[in-house]
Amino acid sequence: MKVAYVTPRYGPQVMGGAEGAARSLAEHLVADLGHEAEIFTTCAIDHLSWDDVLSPGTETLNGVVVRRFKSSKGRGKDFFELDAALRASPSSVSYDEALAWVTANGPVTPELLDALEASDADVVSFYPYLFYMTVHGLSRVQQPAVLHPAAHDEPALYLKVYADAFATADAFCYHTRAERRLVESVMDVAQTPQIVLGLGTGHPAGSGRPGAELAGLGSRPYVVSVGRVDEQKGSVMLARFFAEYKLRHPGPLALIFVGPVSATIQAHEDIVVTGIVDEADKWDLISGAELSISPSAMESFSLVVLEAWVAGIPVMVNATCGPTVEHCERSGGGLAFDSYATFEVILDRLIGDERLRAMLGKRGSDYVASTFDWPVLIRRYERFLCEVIERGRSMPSPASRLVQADPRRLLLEP
Amino acid sequence: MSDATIDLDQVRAEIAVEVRRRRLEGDFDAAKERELERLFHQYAPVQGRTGALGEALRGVDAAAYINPLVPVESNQPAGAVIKKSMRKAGLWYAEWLTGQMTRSVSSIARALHLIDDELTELRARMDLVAVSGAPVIELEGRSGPESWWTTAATAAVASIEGRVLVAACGDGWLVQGLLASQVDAYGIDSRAGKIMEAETAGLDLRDEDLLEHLASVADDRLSGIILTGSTEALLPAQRRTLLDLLAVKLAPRSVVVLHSAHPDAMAGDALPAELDLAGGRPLRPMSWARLLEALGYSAMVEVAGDGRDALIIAVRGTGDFPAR
Repeated sequence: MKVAYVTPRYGPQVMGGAEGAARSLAEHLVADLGHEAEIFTTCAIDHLSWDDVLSPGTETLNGVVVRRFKSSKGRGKDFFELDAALRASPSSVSYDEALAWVTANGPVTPELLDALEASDADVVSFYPYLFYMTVHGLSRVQQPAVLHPAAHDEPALYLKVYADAFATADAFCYHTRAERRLVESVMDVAQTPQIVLGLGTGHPAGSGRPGAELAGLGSRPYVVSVGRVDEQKGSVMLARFFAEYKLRHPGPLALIFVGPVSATIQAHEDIVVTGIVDEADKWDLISGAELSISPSAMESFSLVVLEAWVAGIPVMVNATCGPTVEHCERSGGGLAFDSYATFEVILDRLIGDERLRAMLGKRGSDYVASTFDWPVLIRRYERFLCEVIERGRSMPSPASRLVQADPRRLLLEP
Repeated sequence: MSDATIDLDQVRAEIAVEVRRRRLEGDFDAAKERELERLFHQYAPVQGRTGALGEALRGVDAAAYINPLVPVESNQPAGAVIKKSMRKAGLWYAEWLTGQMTRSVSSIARALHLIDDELTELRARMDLVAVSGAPVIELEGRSGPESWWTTAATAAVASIEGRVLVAACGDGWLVQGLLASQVDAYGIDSRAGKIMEAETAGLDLRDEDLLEHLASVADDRLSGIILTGSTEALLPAQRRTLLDLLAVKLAPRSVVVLHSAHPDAMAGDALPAELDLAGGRPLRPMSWARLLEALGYSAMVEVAGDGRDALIIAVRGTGDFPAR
């Protein structure tokens, strides 16, 4: 089986969740199961500008053939103005305005789409939904097309152009059931074949050093929050909640943030921000924690929650985040907070009850092993792709507005 | 007590009780809690936030006043003086216009507030009568490959092209059987625990409510639907919604297979307690047949030997009934 992936960025330099997931799937299909994978991507690394910084052409990365194409346009200067105008009421935006937004968002990749049409892959996977190459590529490929939406509850999802794009997919591969519910609440695509696959998890790769020592906390107990330290990811809220908690519960407990920092966390004697650390340190910091906290309301999957369970520790998650709450409900490995009051009571309970922590960690660990361990996950994915290929391509109707939006196609139509 | 016996639902309930206790005893500073609450909801998705309309209305209120005083700053030395003179000269007219606009926008905002009030009151009343999805009613001995109706149901959809939905699919036994017969089947069941194992193994099964799922299906895209245990507890309005959805979501050439408890079985003790708790009651098989005929289907009815349940097979645009 040969699988083509269409994704706006690709490579070890790219930290994005969706792009990283596409790389993991492609590499595991090749390395674990002996399939072929080729990537259609841009020369960009920065998702804000889409500037071409890598060389165009073909290379092989970990057994995966990577085809890079220059963009004819990155993120336009008009994007932010247009975005602000459409954000207020995205579902009432006209089709043409929505198409203009997709183009302004970039990267615009006509060469990539031409090459994709010539691909001899058995199936084409688009990852994620948001970009030009997905919106236009879905209606141009002849092979069965799988869309990995990686959708959030964000204004863009409600733009009409995406309803057409989703309707041309032959199958969906979701991160979580919450994502599927979200997509189905916005678009009439429930009949389309789908799988809730998620992302694969690795095994703890720590060096066995105490996490508290690594963070300069001596032997103090601590809770950990792993991921981008960002206001929108709830990091500022968590720091404020924890500061309030410590005001009301003095003691040795500390909070460690681990990950790239793009928000200012107010200095506090019980809060440590490590910034980016290597994999070994990350696993040591997770393994040594009493529990892990995911404060973000905007996750499409949350690998960090699963990594906490791999390390055998329980999690606390934001109750308004569908995917992380779903993980907790299905696994029984964590608890969700929906206010400072519940945050405080849950933290009190977990810190004071070692047996409960152990049980939650064990349940989470079992859940990950049965569902997201790479050998299990990649076999499920392989079976799903085979079924999609067998079912074949249901070509979009020539009346589809997306087909019409491609001027070259109009020339081909009688 | 072993760790496996810790009841997580009990833990959650204890946490909720403790939160209430601390609030009641004034343990939390109310002003500070409100401030932290705002912080918590700042980046919460709209779907998870209550009062979104109220927030939007506050934005409308803030924008309702139209300022007649145009800015007069200028990069040119004399620009500001000229602009100021022009503003002064035209101010009476600008005030007259903006005054009317402000009154107009304010009256619209007032109307929106009234709608918000009405909606809030309506929501409170609806909460008293609202029902979640109807429960699945599973009759003992009438689910599984050996059930009397399975062969007929499978034959009814065996030759059609396109997707066939099975609701409620349980552990996926019927979906599995249909796939083995080369039918492109998938399933839904509101009982998440039932489908988990088969779903993880790779079947296209989803923990979704029947009516919500059908509402998200594109028009004319289902070639067949097999309903078992899904219609008995539906309330009249839900049943009407189901029929409306069947009319538009199923293809012009399609098959409906409906397996349901018979209303006569209500008199005995054979039906599960969930049916008593739900507001709905099973329809008579002939009623289903007539309702489906009204949608353009030709229907046939078969009642089980013991009278506990019945099978209705309805076809539209496909010619004859499938061979038995």
